[in-house]
Amino acid sequence: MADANRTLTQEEQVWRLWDKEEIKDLLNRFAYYTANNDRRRAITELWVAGDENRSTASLGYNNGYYTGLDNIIAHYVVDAEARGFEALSAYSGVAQTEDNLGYGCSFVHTMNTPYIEVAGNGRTAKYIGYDCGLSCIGSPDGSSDSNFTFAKVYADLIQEDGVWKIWHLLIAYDHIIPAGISYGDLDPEAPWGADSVERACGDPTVRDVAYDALYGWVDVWERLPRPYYSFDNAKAYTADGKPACYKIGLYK
Amino acid sequence: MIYQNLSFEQRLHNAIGAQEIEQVKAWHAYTHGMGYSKEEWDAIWYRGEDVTWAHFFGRMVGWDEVWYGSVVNPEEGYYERYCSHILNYKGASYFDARSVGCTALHCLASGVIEVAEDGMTGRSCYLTPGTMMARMSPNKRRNGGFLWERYGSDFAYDTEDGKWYYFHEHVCPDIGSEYGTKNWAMEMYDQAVTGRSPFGPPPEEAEGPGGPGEGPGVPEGGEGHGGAPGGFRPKKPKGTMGGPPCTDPGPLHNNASMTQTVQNTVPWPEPYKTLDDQNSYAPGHNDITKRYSALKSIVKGGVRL
Repeated sequence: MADANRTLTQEEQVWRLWDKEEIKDLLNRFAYYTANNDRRRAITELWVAGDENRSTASLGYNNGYYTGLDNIIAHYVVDAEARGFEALSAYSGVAQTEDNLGYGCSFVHTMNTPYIEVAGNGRTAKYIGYDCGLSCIGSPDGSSDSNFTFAKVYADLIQEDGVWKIWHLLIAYDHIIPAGISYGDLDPEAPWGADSVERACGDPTVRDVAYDALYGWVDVWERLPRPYYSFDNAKAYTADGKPACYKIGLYK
Repeated sequence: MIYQNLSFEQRLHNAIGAQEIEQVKAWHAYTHGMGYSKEEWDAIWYRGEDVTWAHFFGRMVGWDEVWYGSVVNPEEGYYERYCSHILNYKGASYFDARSVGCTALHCLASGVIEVAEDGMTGRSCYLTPGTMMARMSPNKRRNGGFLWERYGSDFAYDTEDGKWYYFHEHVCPDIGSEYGTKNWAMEMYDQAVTGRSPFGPPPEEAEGPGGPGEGPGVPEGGEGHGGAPGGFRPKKPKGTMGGPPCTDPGPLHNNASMTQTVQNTVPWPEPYKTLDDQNSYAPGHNDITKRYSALKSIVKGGVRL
């Protein structure tokens, strides 16, 4: 506890400044890599690599969590590649190669409004940001499945060899608004999986209500990063860190 | 040149200040988005006579006026919305009354931040491409709106607790419409032709935005659309342009229109020595020493530590 209340030295203050800027960069890079379909590179360069951290890594969406880096890779890289080839197959005149994945598609992710807390012991950090994005999949007949996407992004970061890495990531979609259709015409209580963006989140390792967009931001007060000294699994952005609002009667 | 003679310690203080200002802005965005007005304003605002909050309809001056206009005034709308939600969506009653159904965010982009040479204040300007959306609504339809605004904000450094706090905020709404099928350009043309203003109708007409909170527009003085189910709503004090009462009345900014020229209502901050009328988003209200000695925190627990 004495450490928790210790005043940082000037050098430590400088490192904390640097840490927060590095963390912003890290999540921003993840947005770029995903938009560019550089998914293998995102895993290799941005996610945890150590054995213990790989086993406890997590990628979550509204409908649950992929746990362990192998399961994350299977979903985020392998399944995404399969979907890409499926979309590419509609273009008979285009070579069905990895270089042409994303033909006729456009995916954009932005990370804005970051709020970060670095642990008192400097080893982990918690992040929330907002992703205003686009998901557009075109077809040879000129039609497209185009959506504006809006999601909160929560992340637990951890240092490995002095470099910040993504350890746990939770992408909680608020809205997926189809272009050219009045959003008000969609069923407000439509079940998860009603559109291609939600379906692309797949079938997680741990199926759970990580975020229920219908009821909105009832989870944010619990999940908003707060000053803390050391990592607490009960507050992680994982299945173990489920906020109390999703343990009550409606979800029992 | 400004900043040239600062010591390492002073530069470090100012660098931390700039980053803390980003944090304060983000804290505002998220707590406002979830309808937690008390927690938001209590945690991140300075207490003082020159504290201000401004919108197109005017500028509230002094902590008491700002607290009434920003917390007390709009909260009624949140609970009214909750009453509607629990009637329309069976699960809504399980959740927090203020945040259930909220998913709107005044996103923060393109920030420019300067901390004064004297290290006692900071200034920021942001564009906010806001998402004004909800899956739940009184008419049981999803809402997919956007609202683009600009923020000009001044901050004060509290030497007692070493934290940075909001001192002035000036919100400038530029344009709002809906994603999906709305033709906002045609909307603006229609408004120019019919003479109807998109923001801030006179008080005697239908109420406009409910002040600095998200505040859905609701009629007053009786039952009916937007009123509490089966209830009567008393008339609330209003400013001359709608919205809560303001010491400095508006208009302070105009919405985008077919004829509106470029406005630079909240110019981005330049390097500066100290908060003064030439470097302030609320000229005439720059004395950070005029602070209250009242309770620093009204809301105990759960606020920014």
